Amino acid sequence: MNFVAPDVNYYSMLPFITVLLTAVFATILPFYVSRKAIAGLSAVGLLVALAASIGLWNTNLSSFYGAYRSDNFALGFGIVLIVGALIAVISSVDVAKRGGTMQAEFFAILLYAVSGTMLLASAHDLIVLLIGFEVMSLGVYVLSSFQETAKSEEAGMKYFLLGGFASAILIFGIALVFGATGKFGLEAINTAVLSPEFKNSSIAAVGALFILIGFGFKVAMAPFHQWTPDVYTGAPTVVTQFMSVAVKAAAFAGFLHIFGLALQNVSGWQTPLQFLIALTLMIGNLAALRQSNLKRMLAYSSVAHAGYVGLAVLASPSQGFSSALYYLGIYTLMNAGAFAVLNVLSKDDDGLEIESLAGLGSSKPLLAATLTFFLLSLAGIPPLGGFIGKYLIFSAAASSGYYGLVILAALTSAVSLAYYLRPIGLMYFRPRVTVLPDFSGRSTRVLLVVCAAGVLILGLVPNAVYGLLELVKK
Amino acid sequence: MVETQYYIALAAILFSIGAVGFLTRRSAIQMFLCVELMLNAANLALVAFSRAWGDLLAQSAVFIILTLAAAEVAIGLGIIVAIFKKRPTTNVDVLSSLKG
Amino acid sequence: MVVFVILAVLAIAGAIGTISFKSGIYSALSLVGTLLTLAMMYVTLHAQFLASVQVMVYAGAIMVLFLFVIMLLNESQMSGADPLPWVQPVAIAGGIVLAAALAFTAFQFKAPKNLETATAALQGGTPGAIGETLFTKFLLPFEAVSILLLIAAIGAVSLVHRQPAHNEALETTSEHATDNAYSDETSSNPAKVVA
Repeated sequence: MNFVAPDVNYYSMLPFITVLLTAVFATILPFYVSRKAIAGLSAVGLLVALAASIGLWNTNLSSFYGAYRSDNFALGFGIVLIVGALIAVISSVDVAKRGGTMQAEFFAILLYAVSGTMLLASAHDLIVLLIGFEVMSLGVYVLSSFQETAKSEEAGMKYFLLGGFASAILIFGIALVFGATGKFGLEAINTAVLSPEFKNSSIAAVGALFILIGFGFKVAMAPFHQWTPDVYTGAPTVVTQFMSVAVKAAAFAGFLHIFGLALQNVSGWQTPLQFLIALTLMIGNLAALRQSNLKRMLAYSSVAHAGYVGLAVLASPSQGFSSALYYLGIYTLMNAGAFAVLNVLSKDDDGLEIESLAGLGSSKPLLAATLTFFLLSLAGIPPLGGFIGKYLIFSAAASSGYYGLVILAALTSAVSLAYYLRPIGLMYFRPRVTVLPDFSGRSTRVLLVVCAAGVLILGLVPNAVYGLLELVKK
Repeated sequence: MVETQYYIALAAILFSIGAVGFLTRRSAIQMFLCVELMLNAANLALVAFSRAWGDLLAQSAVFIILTLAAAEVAIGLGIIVAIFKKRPTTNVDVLSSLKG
Repeated sequence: MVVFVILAVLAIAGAIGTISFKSGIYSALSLVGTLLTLAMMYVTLHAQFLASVQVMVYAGAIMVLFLFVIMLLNESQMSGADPLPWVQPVAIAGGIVLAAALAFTAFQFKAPKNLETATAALQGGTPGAIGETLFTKFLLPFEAVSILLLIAAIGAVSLVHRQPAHNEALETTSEHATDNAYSDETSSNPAKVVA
C-alpha cells in the first residue's frame, strides 16, 4: 500500500474554518451565557471571517488537490454569504421584542448553514459541493420549521420533502455525470468531456439535466418554484431573509461552477435552461402582481430574480461569473434590507398586508425611506445598484447571443415596476389607516442605513467594485 | 460478468419508481421512503460506474452519500415527529394553511 | 446473469411494494427488502465494504428508525382521498416514460475500459482499499461530512424543544431572561410565576 499524504492547506480555508468554529462555540456556549451574547459572538465570528476573506483576496490558494479553492470567485461569494448571514443575525435581535424569541440554537444552526454555503461556493469537486449543498439545506429545513405554529411547520415539512426529492435528483445526476466522465473534479470533468476518448455524451447530457432540475428546485426556478411562496411565507421572517439571499446566492455559486466549469461543453442543458428562465421570469413577475401580503410578494419577487441571475449561467463563464456575483451582492443588500424592514414592522411572522403600509412615510420616515430605496433598487431603477446588476447580467447574456431572453427579462422587469412601486405610493401618498408596530432597535436602524448606502454606492460607482471582480475571470 | 448497462437500467427503473411514489403518495413518511429509494438507485448507479471505470472514488462517494442519507433521515424524521405527533395522520394534506 | 435477473426482479418488486402498500409498515419493510437485494448486488459489483455498510447502516439503522417513527405515530391507516385524483395516472404514465427513456440512455453507455481489468483495479472494494481512497484523495469530503452529522444532531435536538409562538409566560419573563440561553423558559418560568 503506497500512502500518499493528502494535500492539506488549512490557511486557504480560513474564512470557512472561522465560521465553523464560531458555530461550534455558538453550540456550546448557550449553556453558560445569554442569547444576546451568542448573537454578539456570531456577529464577531462572521466579521472575522469577512476580514479573512478580504485578506485572502487574490492569493488564489487551493487545498485538497484543488477540491477546495479560495479563488476570487469563491471569496467574493463568501463575502456575499457572510454579509447575508450578518444581516440575519442583526435582524434576529429585534424578534425578541415582539415576543417571538429565536431559540438559542438559531445562531448555531444558522452558522453551520453558512459554513455549508461557503463550502458550496468554494468546492471544485462534485461530492464536496454536494456535502455543502446538504449542510446548507439541512440547516434551513430546521430553521424554517423552528416555530411551533401551523404555518412554520407546514413550511418546514414542504421544504424538507421537496428538498429531499431535489437532492435525490441531483445525486442521480452526479452519478450519471461520473459515469460519463469517470471524474468528480469540475475541471477534470471538462477535460474528460473535451478529450477524444469521450464516448458517453448522451449519459452526460441526461446527468446535466438532472443536476439542472436539482439546482432549479434550490434556486426556485419555475416550474420547480411551487414551494417557494409557501415556505418563504410560512418560515420565520428572519429565516426567510436568510433563505432568500444566502441560500440562493450559494446555490447559484454551485450552479455556475457546475455548468460554467464542468459541463460547459456538454450539450443538451442550454435549451431547457432557457425555457426555465423564460418561465421563471413570467411566473415570478406576474404572480407577484397579484399578492396582497408583502412577505408573499417578496417571495415571488425572489423567484423572478432567480430568473435574472439564471441568465448569467447561460452567458459565457468569463462574463457570467462576475456579473452574477455582482448582482447577487447587490441583491443580498436590497432584498435582505427589505425583509429587515418587514421584520420590524410586523407583529408576528405572518408578514404584512401591503395596504397597511399606507401613510408610513410620515409616521416612520426612516423605515419608509429605506424600504423605498430597497424596492426601487429591486425594480432596477437607476442610479441604484439593482439597475447596474441587471445591466451587467443582461449585457453578459446578450453578448452570448441570448437576445430573446434579454428582451423578455427587460419586459418582465418593466412589469415588476407595478408591484414594487405600489407599496411606495401607499407609503407616501395615502393617509395612515392602520398603526403598524415598530420593533426596530438601534442596530437594525444602523443596518438599514448601511444596506441602503451600499445599494446606492454599488449603483453610483460600479467600477470601483466591479473592477475588483474583473479579477474573478480566470 | 453482467455488463454495466444492465445495472444502470435497473437503477433508472428504481429511480423512476421512487419518483412516481413521491408524486402519488400522500403520507409524509411514505414520500420520504420514496426519496430513500431514489437515493439508493443513485448509489447503485455509482457502484456500477465505479466498476466500469475501475475507480474506487465512486465507491467512496457512495459511502459519503450513505452518511448524507443518514443525516437527512435524522432531520427529516425529527421534523415529521415534531409536526405530526399532535395531528391524527401523517397525510400531508392536513397541512394547508398556506395558500395563494 | 441469472443472479442479476433474480436480484433485479426482487429489487423492483420491493420498490413497487414500497410505493403501493397503504400501510406505512409494509412500505418500509418492502424497502428493506430492496435495500438488502441492493446489498447483494453490491457484492456482485465488487463493493464488499459497501455491501456490509448497506446492510448495517441502511437496512439496519436507518430503516429501524423509520419503523420506529411509523409505530410512534401509530400510522395504521393512510386515510384521505387524494385531493388531485388525476395526479396518479399522470404520474404513473410519466414514470413509465421516464424509466423507458433512462433505461434507453443506460444502454447507450459505452464501457470506457475492459471490464475485467477495471474490476481488478477495485481490489474487491475491501475496507482497506476504500479506506485508502477516503483518507487520501477523498479526505475533504470525509472531513466535511462530519459537519453534516453535527448539524443533523443539533438540528434534531433543537426540533424537539421548539418554543410555541406567543407564549405569554415568555413575554412577561423575557425582561429578566436567565443568563443561560438553553434553559427551557417555556416550561420552567410559569412554575416560577406560580411560586
